[in-house]
Amino acid sequence: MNPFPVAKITFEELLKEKSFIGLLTLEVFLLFVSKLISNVVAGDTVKVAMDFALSFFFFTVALYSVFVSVGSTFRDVSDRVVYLILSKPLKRSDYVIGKFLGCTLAVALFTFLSFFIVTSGILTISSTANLYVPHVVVVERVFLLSLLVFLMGVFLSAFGILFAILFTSQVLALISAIFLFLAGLELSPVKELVVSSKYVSPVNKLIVQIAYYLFPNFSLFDVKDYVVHLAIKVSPLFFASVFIYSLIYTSAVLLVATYLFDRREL
Amino acid sequence: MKRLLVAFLLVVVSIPFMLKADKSKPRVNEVAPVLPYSYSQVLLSSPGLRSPAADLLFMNLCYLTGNDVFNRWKERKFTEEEWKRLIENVEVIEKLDPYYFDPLYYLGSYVPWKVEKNRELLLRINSILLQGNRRVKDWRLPFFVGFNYFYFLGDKVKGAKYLKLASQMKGAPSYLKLLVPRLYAESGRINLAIAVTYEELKRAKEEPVKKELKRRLKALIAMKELDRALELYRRRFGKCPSDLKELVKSGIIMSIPEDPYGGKFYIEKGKCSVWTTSNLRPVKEPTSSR
Repeated sequence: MNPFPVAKITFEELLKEKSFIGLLTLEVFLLFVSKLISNVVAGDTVKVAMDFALSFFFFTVALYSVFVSVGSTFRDVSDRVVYLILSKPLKRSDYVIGKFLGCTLAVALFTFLSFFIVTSGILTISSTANLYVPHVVVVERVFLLSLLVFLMGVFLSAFGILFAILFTSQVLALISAIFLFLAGLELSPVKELVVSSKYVSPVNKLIVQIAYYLFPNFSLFDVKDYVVHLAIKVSPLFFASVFIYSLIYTSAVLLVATYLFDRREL
Repeated sequence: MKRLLVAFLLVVVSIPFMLKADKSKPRVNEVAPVLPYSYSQVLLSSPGLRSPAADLLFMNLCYLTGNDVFNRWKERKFTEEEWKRLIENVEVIEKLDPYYFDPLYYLGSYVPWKVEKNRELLLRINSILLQGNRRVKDWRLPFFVGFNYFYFLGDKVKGAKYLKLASQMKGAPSYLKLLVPRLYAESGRINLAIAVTYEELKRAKEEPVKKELKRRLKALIAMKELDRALELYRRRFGKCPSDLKELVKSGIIMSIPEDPYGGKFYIEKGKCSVWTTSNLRPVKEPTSSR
Protein backbone atom coordinates (compact mmCIF):
# COMPACT_ATOMS: atom_id res chain seq x y z
CA MET A 1 0.00 0.00 0.00
CA ASN A 2 1.26 3.51 -0.77
CA PRO A 3 0.83 6.75 1.19
CA PHE A 4 -1.54 8.38 -1.34
CA PRO A 5 -4.86 7.20 0.17
CA VAL A 6 -3.79 8.73 3.51
CA ALA A 7 -2.81 11.91 1.65
CA LYS A 8 -6.21 12.04 -0.05
CA ILE A 9 -8.15 11.51 3.18
CA THR A 10 -6.01 14.10 5.01
CA PHE A 11 -6.50 16.65 2.25
CA GLU A 12 -10.28 16.16 2.15
CA GLU A 13 -10.50 16.31 5.91
CA LEU A 14 -8.43 19.52 6.07
CA LEU A 15 -10.61 21.27 3.49
CA LYS A 16 -13.63 20.72 5.69
CA GLU A 17 -11.91 22.35 8.66
CA LYS A 18 -13.09 25.72 9.88
CA SER A 19 -9.50 27.00 10.10
CA PHE A 20 -9.23 26.89 6.29
CA ILE A 21 -12.07 29.27 5.58
CA GLY A 22 -11.51 31.09 8.89
CA LEU A 23 -7.93 32.07 8.09
CA LEU A 24 -8.85 33.06 4.52
CA THR A 25 -11.56 35.34 5.91
CA LEU A 26 -9.04 36.72 8.38
CA GLU A 27 -6.75 37.51 5.46
CA VAL A 28 -9.46 39.54 3.72
CA PHE A 29 -10.03 41.41 6.97
CA LEU A 30 -6.27 42.03 7.37
CA LEU A 31 -6.17 43.50 3.87
CA PHE A 32 -8.63 46.16 5.02
CA VAL A 33 -6.45 46.69 8.12
CA SER A 34 -3.41 47.18 5.84
CA LYS A 35 -5.31 49.77 3.83
CA LEU A 36 -6.37 51.59 7.02
CA ILE A 37 -2.81 51.61 8.40
CA SER A 38 -1.43 52.90 5.11
CA ASN A 39 -3.81 55.88 5.25
CA VAL A 40 -2.02 57.14 8.35
CA VAL A 41 1.44 57.39 6.81
CA ALA A 42 2.85 60.27 4.77
CA GLY A 43 4.16 59.56 1.27
CA ASP A 44 3.91 56.24 -0.53
CA THR A 45 0.79 54.68 1.02
CA VAL A 46 0.82 51.75 -1.40
CA LYS A 47 4.28 50.72 -0.18
CA VAL A 48 3.07 50.66 3.42
CA ALA A 49 -0.15 48.81 2.55
CA MET A 50 1.91 46.22 0.64
CA ASP A 51 4.35 45.82 3.53
CA PHE A 52 1.54 45.00 5.90
CA ALA A 53 -0.60 42.94 3.51
CA LEU A 54 2.34 40.76 2.47
CA SER A 55 3.47 40.31 6.08
CA PHE A 56 -0.04 39.21 7.05
CA PHE A 57 -0.06 36.82 4.07
CA PHE A 58 3.33 35.41 5.09
CA PHE A 59 2.29 34.80 8.70
CA THR A 60 -1.19 33.49 7.88
CA VAL A 61 0.24 30.77 5.63
CA ALA A 62 2.82 29.90 8.32
CA LEU A 63 0.12 29.66 11.00
CA TYR A 64 -2.15 27.58 8.76
CA SER A 65 0.69 25.14 8.01
CA VAL A 66 1.45 24.68 11.70
CA PHE A 67 -2.21 24.35 12.72
CA VAL A 68 -3.15 21.78 10.10
CA SER A 69 -0.09 19.59 10.44
CA VAL A 70 -0.10 19.47 14.25
CA GLY A 71 -3.91 19.39 14.55
CA SER A 72 -4.50 16.71 11.94
CA THR A 73 -1.82 14.33 13.27
CA PHE A 74 -2.96 14.78 16.87
CA ARG A 75 -6.63 14.27 15.97
CA ASP A 76 -5.80 10.94 14.31
CA VAL A 77 -4.21 9.73 17.55
CA SER A 78 -6.81 11.16 19.96
CA ASP A 79 -9.80 9.97 17.84
CA ARG A 80 -8.05 6.59 17.47
CA VAL A 81 -8.31 6.86 13.68
CA VAL A 82 -4.65 5.96 13.52
CA TYR A 83 -5.40 2.42 14.81
CA LEU A 84 -7.88 1.94 12.01
CA ILE A 85 -5.44 3.14 9.39
CA LEU A 86 -2.50 1.15 10.70
CA SER A 87 -4.62 -2.03 10.85
CA LYS A 88 -4.50 -1.93 7.03
CA PRO A 89 -1.42 -3.18 5.21
CA LEU A 90 0.30 0.19 5.54
CA LYS A 91 3.72 0.96 6.95
CA ARG A 92 3.92 3.55 9.71
CA SER A 93 6.36 5.58 7.62
CA ASP A 94 3.84 5.58 4.73
CA TYR A 95 1.24 6.97 7.10
CA VAL A 96 3.59 9.87 8.06
CA ILE A 97 4.45 10.54 4.40
CA GLY A 98 0.75 10.42 3.47
CA LYS A 99 -0.09 12.84 6.27
CA PHE A 100 2.65 15.16 5.03
CA LEU A 101 1.47 14.98 1.41
CA GLY A 102 -2.10 15.71 2.47
CA CYS A 103 -0.94 18.76 4.46
CA THR A 104 1.18 19.87 1.49
CA LEU A 105 -1.86 19.80 -0.79
CA ALA A 106 -3.94 21.76 1.72
CA VAL A 107 -1.12 24.32 2.16
CA ALA A 108 -0.81 24.61 -1.64
CA LEU A 109 -4.51 25.36 -2.03
CA PHE A 110 -4.47 27.77 0.91
CA THR A 111 -1.41 29.61 -0.48
CA PHE A 112 -2.95 29.82 -3.95
CA LEU A 113 -6.21 31.30 -2.62
CA SER A 114 -4.27 33.67 -0.35
CA PHE A 115 -2.16 34.77 -3.33
CA PHE A 116 -5.35 35.53 -5.21
CA ILE A 117 -6.84 37.50 -2.30
CA VAL A 118 -3.65 39.47 -1.55
CA THR A 119 -2.91 40.25 -5.21
CA SER A 120 -6.44 41.47 -5.86
CA GLY A 121 -6.27 43.52 -2.67
CA ILE A 122 -2.98 45.27 -3.38
CA LEU A 123 -3.88 45.88 -7.02
CA THR A 124 -7.09 47.57 -5.87
CA ILE A 125 -5.23 49.62 -3.25
CA SER A 126 -2.61 50.66 -5.81
CA SER A 127 -5.17 51.65 -8.44
CA THR A 128 -7.20 53.74 -6.01
CA ALA A 129 -4.25 55.46 -4.31
CA ASN A 130 -3.66 59.16 -4.96
CA LEU A 131 0.09 59.37 -5.46
CA TYR A 132 2.24 61.82 -7.45
CA VAL A 133 4.39 58.90 -8.56
CA PRO A 134 2.31 55.71 -8.84
CA HIS A 135 3.66 52.65 -7.04
CA VAL A 136 3.85 49.86 -9.61
CA VAL A 137 2.77 46.40 -8.44
CA VAL A 138 4.36 43.51 -10.35
CA VAL A 139 2.11 40.45 -10.03
CA GLU A 140 4.93 38.09 -11.13
CA ARG A 141 6.90 39.17 -8.07
CA VAL A 142 3.93 38.48 -5.77
CA PHE A 143 3.65 35.06 -7.41
CA LEU A 144 7.34 34.31 -6.79
CA LEU A 145 6.89 35.32 -3.14
CA SER A 146 3.86 33.01 -2.96
CA LEU A 147 5.95 30.11 -4.28
CA LEU A 148 8.52 30.68 -1.56
CA VAL A 149 5.79 31.06 1.06
CA PHE A 150 4.35 27.73 -0.13
CA LEU A 151 7.78 26.07 0.25
CA MET A 152 7.98 27.55 3.75
CA GLY A 153 4.52 26.16 4.53
CA VAL A 154 5.60 22.70 3.38
CA PHE A 155 8.76 22.97 5.47
CA LEU A 156 6.72 24.01 8.53
CA SER A 157 4.19 21.20 7.96
CA ALA A 158 7.02 18.68 8.18
CA PHE A 159 8.08 20.22 11.50
CA GLY A 160 4.45 20.27 12.66
CA ILE A 161 4.13 16.52 12.03
CA LEU A 162 7.47 15.88 13.75
CA PHE A 163 6.40 17.82 16.87
CA ALA A 164 2.97 16.17 16.88
CA ILE A 165 4.76 12.79 17.00
CA LEU A 166 7.41 13.96 19.46
CA PHE A 167 5.17 15.58 22.10
CA THR A 168 2.18 14.19 23.89
CA SER A 169 0.52 17.58 24.28
CA GLN A 170 -0.98 19.34 21.27
CA VAL A 171 -0.52 22.81 22.80
CA LEU A 172 3.16 22.09 23.44
CA ALA A 173 3.61 20.88 19.85
CA LEU A 174 1.88 23.99 18.47
CA ILE A 175 3.90 26.38 20.63
CA SER A 176 7.16 24.59 19.78
CA ALA A 177 6.45 24.81 16.04
CA ILE A 178 5.55 28.51 16.26
CA PHE A 179 8.65 29.30 18.31
CA LEU A 180 10.81 27.31 15.93
CA PHE A 181 9.39 29.39 13.07
CA LEU A 182 10.04 32.69 14.87
CA ALA A 183 13.55 31.57 15.85
CA GLY A 184 14.21 30.54 12.25
CA LEU A 185 13.17 34.01 11.13
CA GLU A 186 15.53 35.65 13.64
CA LEU A 187 18.51 33.53 12.71
CA SER A 188 20.00 35.77 10.04
CA PRO A 189 19.57 39.06 11.97
CA VAL A 190 21.00 37.49 15.14
CA LYS A 191 24.02 36.23 13.24
CA GLU A 192 24.42 39.64 11.55
CA LEU A 193 24.37 41.43 14.93
CA VAL A 194 26.46 38.92 16.87
CA VAL A 195 29.23 38.52 14.30
CA SER A 196 29.61 42.30 13.83
CA SER A 197 29.54 43.02 17.58
CA LYS A 198 32.77 43.53 19.52
CA TYR A 199 31.04 42.79 22.83
CA VAL A 200 30.25 39.13 22.06
CA SER A 201 32.85 36.55 23.04
CA PRO A 202 34.38 34.33 20.31
CA VAL A 203 32.78 31.23 21.93
CA ASN A 204 29.30 32.74 21.70
CA LYS A 205 30.00 33.84 18.14
CA LEU A 206 30.93 30.26 17.32
CA ILE A 207 27.72 28.93 18.94
CA VAL A 208 25.60 31.38 16.97
CA GLN A 209 27.39 30.46 13.75
CA ILE A 210 26.86 26.73 14.35
CA ALA A 211 23.18 27.41 15.09
CA TYR A 212 23.01 29.47 11.90
CA TYR A 213 24.23 26.52 9.83
CA LEU A 214 22.13 23.81 11.51
CA PHE A 215 18.87 25.54 12.48
CA PRO A 216 16.12 25.84 9.80
CA ASN A 217 16.50 29.28 8.23
CA PHE A 218 12.97 30.57 7.61
CA SER A 219 14.17 34.08 6.75
CA LEU A 220 15.22 32.72 3.34
CA PHE A 221 11.55 32.51 2.34
CA ASP A 222 10.93 36.14 3.24
CA VAL A 223 11.34 38.16 0.03
CA LYS A 224 8.62 40.71 0.70
CA ASP A 225 11.07 43.56 0.03
CA TYR A 226 11.66 42.16 -3.45
CA VAL A 227 7.93 42.52 -4.15
CA VAL A 228 7.61 46.01 -2.68
CA HIS A 229 10.80 47.63 -4.06
CA LEU A 230 11.27 47.09 -7.77
CA ALA A 231 14.88 48.27 -7.53
CA ILE A 232 15.79 45.01 -5.76
CA LYS A 233 16.94 42.30 -8.12
CA VAL A 234 17.08 38.62 -7.16
CA SER A 235 18.91 36.05 -9.26
CA PRO A 236 17.18 32.81 -10.32
CA LEU A 237 20.02 31.04 -8.49
CA PHE A 238 18.57 32.30 -5.21
CA PHE A 239 15.17 30.73 -5.91
CA ALA A 240 16.82 27.47 -7.04
CA SER A 241 19.00 27.37 -3.89
CA VAL A 242 16.02 27.99 -1.59
CA PHE A 243 14.04 25.27 -3.36
CA ILE A 244 16.86 22.71 -3.01
CA TYR A 245 17.54 23.75 0.61
CA SER A 246 13.90 23.32 1.66
CA LEU A 247 13.61 20.04 -0.24
CA ILE A 248 16.67 18.53 1.47
CA TYR A 249 15.82 19.87 4.95
CA THR A 250 12.14 18.81 4.68
CA SER A 251 13.25 15.29 3.69
CA ALA A 252 15.55 15.18 6.72
CA VAL A 253 12.74 16.28 9.06
CA LEU A 254 10.39 13.68 7.58
CA LEU A 255 13.04 10.99 8.02
CA VAL A 256 13.30 11.85 11.71
CA ALA A 257 9.48 11.94 11.98
CA THR A 258 9.11 8.45 10.39
CA TYR A 259 11.90 7.12 12.62
CA LEU A 260 10.16 8.42 15.76
CA PHE A 261 6.71 7.27 14.63
CA ASP A 262 8.06 3.75 13.98
CA ARG A 263 9.21 3.62 17.60
CA ARG A 264 6.27 5.38 19.21
CA GLU A 265 3.94 3.37 21.40
CA LEU A 266 0.36 4.00 20.37
CA MET B 1 -32.22 33.01 26.09
CA LYS B 2 -32.99 34.55 29.47
CA ARG B 3 -29.44 33.96 30.60
CA LEU B 4 -28.06 35.63 27.47
CA LEU B 5 -30.26 38.66 28.05
CA VAL B 6 -29.08 38.90 31.66
CA ALA B 7 -25.46 38.60 30.50
CA PHE B 8 -26.00 41.43 28.00
CA LEU B 9 -27.64 43.59 30.67
CA LEU B 10 -24.71 42.97 33.02
CA VAL B 11 -22.30 44.18 30.32
CA VAL B 12 -24.43 47.30 29.82
CA VAL B 13 -24.52 47.92 33.58
CA SER B 14 -20.71 47.68 33.74
CA ILE B 15 -20.22 50.48 31.15
CA PRO B 16 -20.57 53.53 33.52
CA PHE B 17 -18.07 51.95 35.90
CA MET B 18 -15.62 51.38 33.07
CA LEU B 19 -16.02 55.00 31.94
CA LYS B 20 -15.57 56.31 35.49
CA ALA B 21 -12.46 54.20 35.97
CA ASP B 22 -11.06 55.29 32.61
CA LYS B 23 -11.52 58.96 33.51
CA SER B 24 -9.83 58.64 36.89
CA LYS B 25 -7.00 56.45 35.60
CA PRO B 26 -3.57 57.97 36.28
CA ARG B 27 -2.20 59.38 33.00
CA VAL B 28 1.38 59.63 31.88
CA ASN B 29 2.61 62.96 30.55
CA GLU B 30 0.72 63.62 27.32
CA VAL B 31 3.68 65.41 25.75
CA ALA B 32 5.13 62.43 23.91
CA PRO B 33 8.91 62.59 23.81
CA VAL B 34 10.97 61.42 20.84
CA LEU B 35 12.27 58.06 21.99
CA PRO B 36 15.56 56.73 20.66
CA TYR B 37 15.13 53.37 18.92
CA SER B 38 17.96 50.93 18.57
CA TYR B 39 18.33 49.05 15.29
CA SER B 40 19.18 45.75 16.97
CA GLN B 41 16.25 45.96 19.41
CA VAL B 42 13.72 46.74 16.68
CA LEU B 43 15.20 44.05 14.44
CA LEU B 44 15.07 41.35 17.10
CA SER B 45 11.63 42.29 18.35
CA SER B 46 10.04 42.08 14.90
CA PRO B 47 10.97 38.73 13.31
CA GLY B 48 10.09 38.78 9.61
CA LEU B 49 8.59 42.25 9.99
CA ARG B 50 11.48 44.58 9.17
CA SER B 51 9.53 46.67 6.66
CA PRO B 52 6.32 47.06 8.72
CA ALA B 53 8.53 48.00 11.70
CA ALA B 54 10.18 50.67 9.54
CA ASP B 55 6.72 51.89 8.43
CA LEU B 56 5.52 52.15 12.02
CA LEU B 57 8.64 54.03 13.09
CA PHE B 58 8.13 56.49 10.23
CA MET B 59 4.46 56.93 11.19
CA ASN B 60 5.54 57.69 14.75
CA LEU B 61 8.08 60.18 13.43
CA CYS B 62 5.48 61.93 11.25
CA TYR B 63 3.03 62.06 14.14
CA LEU B 64 5.59 63.65 16.47
CA THR B 65 6.76 66.12 13.82
CA GLY B 66 3.14 66.99 13.04
CA ASN B 67 2.58 67.84 16.70
CA ASP B 68 5.66 70.04 16.64
CA VAL B 69 4.71 71.77 13.38
CA PHE B 70 1.11 72.51 14.35
CA ASN B 71 2.12 73.47 17.87
CA ARG B 72 -0.05 70.86 19.54
CA TRP B 73 2.28 70.89 22.54
CA LYS B 74 1.76 74.50 23.43
CA GLU B 75 4.28 74.46 26.22
CA ARG B 76 7.26 73.37 24.13
CA LYS B 77 8.89 72.60 20.78
CA PHE B 78 11.38 69.85 20.01
CA THR B 79 14.69 70.25 21.74
CA GLU B 80 17.93 69.84 19.79
CA GLU B 81 18.47 66.50 21.53
CA GLU B 82 15.07 65.36 20.22
CA TRP B 83 15.92 66.45 16.67
CA LYS B 84 19.11 64.44 17.03
CA ARG B 85 17.10 61.38 18.10
CA LEU B 86 14.73 61.94 15.23
CA ILE B 87 17.64 61.90 12.78
CA GLU B 88 18.99 58.74 14.41
CA ASN B 89 15.55 57.13 14.10
CA VAL B 90 15.54 57.82 10.37
CA GLU B 91 18.91 56.05 10.26
CA VAL B 92 17.30 53.04 12.02
CA ILE B 93 14.40 53.10 9.52
CA GLU B 94 16.84 53.11 6.63
CA LYS B 95 18.73 50.17 8.10
CA LEU B 96 15.47 48.24 8.48
CA ASP B 97 14.20 49.09 5.00
CA PRO B 98 17.08 50.47 2.90
CA TYR B 99 14.89 51.15 -0.15
CA TYR B 100 12.33 53.29 1.71
CA PHE B 101 12.38 56.76 0.10
CA ASP B 102 9.86 58.77 2.15
CA PRO B 103 11.87 58.98 5.42
CA LEU B 104 14.89 60.18 3.41
CA TYR B 105 12.73 62.79 1.70
CA TYR B 106 11.44 63.93 5.10
CA LEU B 107 14.99 64.08 6.44
CA GLY B 108 16.33 66.05 3.49
CA SER B 109 13.48 68.47 2.95
CA TYR B 110 12.33 69.35 6.45
CA VAL B 111 14.82 68.53 9.21
CA PRO B 112 17.78 70.71 8.04
CA TRP B 113 15.64 73.85 8.51
CA LYS B 114 15.15 72.86 12.14
CA VAL B 115 18.80 72.15 12.92
CA GLU B 116 20.36 74.78 10.62
CA LYS B 117 22.70 76.07 13.34
CA ASN B 118 24.07 72.63 14.23
CA ARG B 119 26.88 71.76 11.82
CA GLU B 120 27.34 68.26 13.26
CA LEU B 121 23.68 67.31 12.72
CA LEU B 122 23.66 68.77 9.21
CA LEU B 123 26.68 66.65 8.31
CA ARG B 124 24.97 63.61 9.84
CA ILE B 125 21.87 64.27 7.72
CA ASN B 126 24.04 64.49 4.62
CA SER B 127 25.77 61.23 5.47
CA ILE B 128 22.40 59.41 5.91
CA LEU B 129 21.12 60.88 2.63
CA LEU B 130 24.24 59.78 0.75
CA GLN B 131 24.03 56.33 2.33
CA GLY B 132 20.39 56.13 1.20
CA ASN B 133 21.30 57.32 -2.29
CA ARG B 134 23.40 54.19 -2.79
CA ARG B 135 20.16 52.25 -3.05
CA VAL B 136 17.43 54.77 -3.74
CA LYS B 137 18.35 56.34 -7.07
CA ASP B 138 16.41 59.57 -6.77
CA TRP B 139 17.91 62.93 -7.80
CA ARG B 140 16.36 64.69 -4.81
CA LEU B 141 18.73 63.00 -2.33
CA PRO B 142 22.03 64.43 -3.71
CA PHE B 143 20.10 67.67 -4.33
CA PHE B 144 19.29 67.94 -0.60
CA VAL B 145 22.92 67.15 0.26
CA GLY B 146 24.15 69.82 -2.17
CA PHE B 147 21.59 72.33 -0.88
CA ASN B 148 22.61 71.67 2.74
CA TYR B 149 26.26 72.21 1.84
CA PHE B 150 25.87 75.49 0.01
CA TYR B 151 22.94 76.98 1.93
CA PHE B 152 23.42 75.88 5.54
CA LEU B 153 27.09 74.92 5.68
CA GLY B 154 28.34 77.61 3.30
CA ASP B 155 30.45 75.19 1.27
CA LYS B 156 29.65 76.11 -2.33
CA VAL B 157 32.21 73.77 -3.86
CA LYS B 158 30.75 70.69 -2.17
CA GLY B 159 27.28 72.05 -2.82
CA ALA B 160 28.04 72.26 -6.53
CA LYS B 161 29.58 68.76 -6.50
CA TYR B 162 26.37 67.15 -5.18
CA LEU B 163 24.06 69.32 -7.25
CA LYS B 164 26.04 68.21 -10.28
CA LEU B 165 25.48 64.61 -9.21
CA ALA B 166 21.75 65.32 -8.82
CA SER B 167 21.54 67.10 -12.19
CA GLN B 168 22.89 63.99 -13.93
CA MET B 169 20.26 61.67 -12.47
CA LYS B 170 17.06 60.62 -14.15
CA GLY B 171 14.14 63.01 -13.61
CA ALA B 172 16.29 65.94 -12.44
CA PRO B 173 14.96 69.35 -13.56
CA SER B 174 17.01 71.13 -16.22
CA TYR B 175 17.64 74.24 -14.07
CA LEU B 176 20.03 72.20 -11.91
CA LYS B 177 22.43 72.05 -14.85
CA LEU B 178 22.62 75.86 -14.74
CA LEU B 179 22.81 76.09 -10.97
CA VAL B 180 26.00 74.01 -10.74
CA PRO B 181 28.29 76.29 -12.81
CA ARG B 182 26.91 79.33 -11.00
CA LEU B 183 27.86 77.86 -7.62
CA TYR B 184 31.33 77.04 -8.88
CA ALA B 185 31.68 80.56 -10.28
CA GLU B 186 30.42 82.11 -7.02
CA SER B 187 33.01 80.13 -5.11
CA GLY B 188 35.74 81.58 -7.38
CA ARG B 189 36.33 78.39 -9.38
CA ILE B 190 35.64 79.78 -12.83
CA ASN B 191 37.75 77.17 -14.62
CA LEU B 192 35.69 74.42 -13.02
CA ALA B 193 32.48 76.29 -13.81
CA ILE B 194 33.50 76.56 -17.50
CA ALA B 195 34.43 72.88 -17.63
CA VAL B 196 31.13 71.79 -16.06
CA THR B 197 29.08 74.04 -18.36
CA TYR B 198 30.93 72.76 -21.40
CA GLU B 199 30.35 69.17 -20.26
CA GLU B 200 26.63 69.81 -19.73
CA LEU B 201 26.38 71.54 -23.11
CA LYS B 202 27.67 68.40 -24.80
CA ARG B 203 25.15 66.28 -22.92
CA ALA B 204 22.09 68.55 -23.15
CA LYS B 205 19.41 67.58 -25.66
CA GLU B 206 16.65 70.14 -25.13
CA GLU B 207 17.11 73.31 -27.18
CA PRO B 208 16.12 75.85 -24.41
CA VAL B 209 18.63 74.25 -22.01
CA LYS B 210 21.34 74.33 -24.68
CA LYS B 211 20.64 78.01 -25.33
CA GLU B 212 20.87 78.81 -21.61
CA LEU B 213 24.10 76.85 -21.23
CA LYS B 214 25.67 78.68 -24.20
CA ARG B 215 24.79 82.03 -22.60
CA ARG B 216 26.25 80.83 -19.28
CA LEU B 217 29.42 79.66 -21.03
CA LYS B 218 29.81 83.03 -22.79
CA ALA B 219 29.49 84.90 -19.49
CA LEU B 220 31.93 82.57 -17.71
CA ILE B 221 34.55 82.88 -20.48
CA ALA B 222 34.27 86.68 -20.29
CA MET B 223 34.77 86.50 -16.52
CA LYS B 224 37.74 84.22 -17.00
CA GLU B 225 39.38 86.68 -19.41
CA LEU B 226 38.77 89.57 -17.03
CA ASP B 227 40.24 87.54 -14.16
CA ARG B 228 43.35 86.86 -16.24
CA ALA B 229 43.62 90.58 -17.06
CA LEU B 230 43.30 91.44 -13.35
CA GLU B 231 46.15 89.05 -12.57
CA LEU B 232 48.33 90.72 -15.21
CA TYR B 233 47.50 94.17 -13.83
CA ARG B 234 48.37 93.04 -10.30
CA ARG B 235 51.72 91.70 -11.46
CA ARG B 236 52.53 94.86 -13.37
CA PHE B 237 51.37 97.46 -10.81
CA GLY B 238 51.45 95.44 -7.58
CA LYS B 239 47.86 96.34 -6.63
CA CYS B 240 44.28 95.59 -7.56
CA PRO B 241 42.62 98.11 -9.88
CA SER B 242 39.70 100.01 -8.38
CA ASP B 243 37.68 99.72 -11.59
CA LEU B 244 37.62 97.53 -14.69
CA LYS B 245 38.11 100.66 -16.83
CA GLU B 246 41.69 100.85 -15.50
CA LEU B 247 42.39 97.57 -17.34
CA VAL B 248 41.39 99.26 -20.59
CA LYS B 249 43.38 102.43 -19.77
CA SER B 250 46.51 100.42 -19.02
CA GLY B 251 46.12 98.63 -22.38
CA ILE B 252 45.74 95.12 -20.93
CA ILE B 253 42.34 94.69 -22.59
CA MET B 254 40.77 96.52 -25.52
CA SER B 255 37.30 96.85 -23.95
CA ILE B 256 35.14 95.49 -21.13
CA PRO B 257 33.10 92.58 -22.43
CA GLU B 258 29.33 92.64 -22.14
CA ASP B 259 27.49 90.40 -19.70
CA PRO B 260 25.13 88.26 -21.82
CA TYR B 261 22.67 88.34 -18.91
CA GLY B 262 22.37 92.12 -19.15
CA GLY B 263 24.34 92.95 -16.01
CA LYS B 264 27.70 94.72 -15.62
CA PHE B 265 31.00 93.10 -14.64
CA TYR B 266 32.73 94.64 -11.62
CA ILE B 267 35.65 93.97 -9.30
CA GLU B 268 34.83 92.42 -5.93
CA LYS B 269 36.89 94.61 -3.64
CA GLY B 270 38.05 92.20 -0.95
CA LYS B 271 38.85 89.31 -3.30
CA CYS B 272 40.14 91.24 -6.34
CA SER B 273 38.12 89.03 -8.62
CA VAL B 274 35.41 89.62 -11.20
CA TRP B 275 31.68 89.22 -10.64
CA THR B 276 28.59 90.56 -12.30
CA THR B 277 25.61 92.59 -11.16
CA SER B 278 23.33 90.06 -12.92
CA ASN B 279 24.48 87.24 -10.59
CA LEU B 280 24.48 85.09 -13.76
CA ARG B 281 20.72 85.37 -14.02
CA PRO B 282 18.81 87.31 -16.69
CA VAL B 283 18.31 90.91 -15.58
CA LYS B 284 14.66 91.93 -15.77
CA GLU B 285 13.97 95.08 -17.78
CA PRO B 286 12.32 97.73 -15.57
CA THR B 287 8.69 98.06 -16.64
CA SER B 288 7.82 101.60 -17.71
CA SER B 289 4.59 103.02 -16.34
CA ARG B 290 2.48 105.18 -18.55
